[in-house]
Amino acid sequence: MQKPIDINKEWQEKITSLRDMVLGNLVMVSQITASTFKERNRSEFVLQRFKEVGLSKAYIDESDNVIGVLKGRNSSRRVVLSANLDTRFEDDVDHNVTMDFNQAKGAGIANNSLGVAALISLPDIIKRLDIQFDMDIVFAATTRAHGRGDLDGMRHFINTYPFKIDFVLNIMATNIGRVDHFCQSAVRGDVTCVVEAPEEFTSTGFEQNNAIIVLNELINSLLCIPMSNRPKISLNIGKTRGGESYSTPCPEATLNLYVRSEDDNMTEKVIESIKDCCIDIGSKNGVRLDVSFFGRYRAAGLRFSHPLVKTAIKIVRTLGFRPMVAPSNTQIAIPLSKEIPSITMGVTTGKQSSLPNDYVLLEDIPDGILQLITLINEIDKGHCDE
Amino acid sequence: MNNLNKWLNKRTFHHAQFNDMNGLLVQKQGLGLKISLCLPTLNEAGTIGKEIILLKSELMERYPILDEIAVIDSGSTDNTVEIAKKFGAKVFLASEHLKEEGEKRGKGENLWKALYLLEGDIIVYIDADIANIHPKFVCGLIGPMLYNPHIKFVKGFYDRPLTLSQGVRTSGGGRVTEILIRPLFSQFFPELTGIIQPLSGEYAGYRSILEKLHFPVGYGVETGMLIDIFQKWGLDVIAQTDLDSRVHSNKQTRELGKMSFGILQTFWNRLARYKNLDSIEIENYRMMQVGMKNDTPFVEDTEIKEKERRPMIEVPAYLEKFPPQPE
Repeated sequence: MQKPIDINKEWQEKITSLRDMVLGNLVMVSQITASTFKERNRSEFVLQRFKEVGLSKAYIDESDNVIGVLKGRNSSRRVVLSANLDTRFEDDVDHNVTMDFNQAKGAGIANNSLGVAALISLPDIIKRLDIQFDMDIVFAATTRAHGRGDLDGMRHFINTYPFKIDFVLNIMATNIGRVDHFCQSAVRGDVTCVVEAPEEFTSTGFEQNNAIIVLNELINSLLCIPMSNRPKISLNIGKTRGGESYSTPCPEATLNLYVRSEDDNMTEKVIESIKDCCIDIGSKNGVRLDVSFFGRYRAAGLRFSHPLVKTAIKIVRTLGFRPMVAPSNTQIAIPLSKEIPSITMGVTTGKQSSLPNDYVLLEDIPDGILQLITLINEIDKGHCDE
Repeated sequence: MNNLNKWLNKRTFHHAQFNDMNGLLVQKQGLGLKISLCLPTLNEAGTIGKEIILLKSELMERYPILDEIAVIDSGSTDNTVEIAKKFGAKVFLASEHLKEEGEKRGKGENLWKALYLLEGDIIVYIDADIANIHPKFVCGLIGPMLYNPHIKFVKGFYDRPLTLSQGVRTSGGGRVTEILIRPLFSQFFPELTGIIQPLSGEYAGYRSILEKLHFPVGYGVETGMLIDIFQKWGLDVIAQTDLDSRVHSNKQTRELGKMSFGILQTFWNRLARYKNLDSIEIENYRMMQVGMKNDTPFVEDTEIKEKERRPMIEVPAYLEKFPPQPE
């Protein structure tokens, strides 16, 4: 039986009394649109918050990441607290939030506006709790996590930050209890099918190729790629888009897919098979089938027995939540690939959605903040070192 | 016209001029003022929670610019009152206070009673249905008063799809403003035509002014307030602030008709009071609107009688709570 972590009751009470500050930040953050590559306004708001609370050297870097440092007593070590700024919602989607007794709702609130709100509230909360750590805490609100963003913000930060990083603690809005500590081998791919219309006639379209039908053939072909159970590999066909009207043969269509595996070699093999399928189906139909891969992550992670993972799980359990361990496809892929011990934790219970009706429950937020501060404290005391 | 243009240049602000919260706080403390925020409500459960949480955390806890936030409710049947209490606002049911003054219902009633129930030297009124709530809605309204002692009342205006000119919107009321209010102002109170959105529900004023005003309890409260302030103290005490955009639900034209019916009563009343047009007497307080039912037209009539509250300074209970101060 593991010895539970002591939860500081004084902190718990104080953090509970400060919940509204987090909720205020949540409303402010959520209402600033931040689709991937267009996070600048949100970055500027975060920078303002970092400056208001007195973080040293607060700045926006070339990738629009916002960085600020809470200096420790001796600054010999540093932990990075990160949260991605971008949401999956375009700027023309209504980003206004609604809040009732138990929950807040709004586009992107669960991925990752609450994570950002927690990140920008933490320096203030730590100061109000009058906690002084030995190590530096580096707050990093990062950009370009979603889709074609390909974790560029985090990548840029990790590659360019001038000081050694000892730990990364990534904050996601949901779900409390998660302790992501490893990433699978993964890659995202976009297939575009373009049908060139014959020059000599365009009449009824009976004779023309149709991009949707070609993609349908491709999908059938992709489904024939052998997938092993050990090591596990999966191919997800996540999204298709194309077409103009009822009566026009579709001239262009796209397909988004995602491959993940426990083994990097398996991923490579599937990438090759997908390329082959595209060439086969493209030539058979006389159309262009372009495939591009991005978001390629190597399998990396911490062992379950790593003290950072063990400690995080103990804290989650002590606070009365069920620890959840699953492969992560979040920002920790980048620091883990550099062998920096990293985990992702969630602030509260909620639901992410591709529709603008994400929600987060308000009740667990103070415990979500408390688990982060408790873990930082344990890291500071050296309890998470190998 | 020149005077009006001068006023527009001198008294039209943008909220961004007042986004230095520390500066506002220092200014407020230097003047030794208390500032209260009143949110008048009737079934605003969808937006009230986040309005309170945001304004409380930003403007009471982070920067203590506001001394109190109060919801004054007209008898909501949804969860407005419960949500407001849960998120830490003071909550008053309008009908339970100043009962000796008789019973009246309407947004203006809540605004009037706020003078009695709240403590501030400055009262900020913000509608409770703002979807894109932001501290600018408060700071933009109190800023002009904190930095300029001559300004006693500030009105908000917002984004409408109208051309901008050097950062200031050259027009931009809603439908009732452009079709009813501005033509009436042009004919009888041309000095007030510079007010871009006379009907906006966001404004702030010194208690010392507000307590001396009659308050229409219904649709006419904003129009009556503006005309009265102008008549008593002149245009120079009034300012307006561009609050950028305000997202809220749009009203049906039919509803706007009823609103106009109420506002017109307030307007005729002001004409009688200030322009000696005693001959105007309203003959009918029923708004007649033609509707269709099963393809048959019919006339729907709704009684809309604008009642007014006397100036709060004439109410004995108020005088007891806020004894008159020497000028």
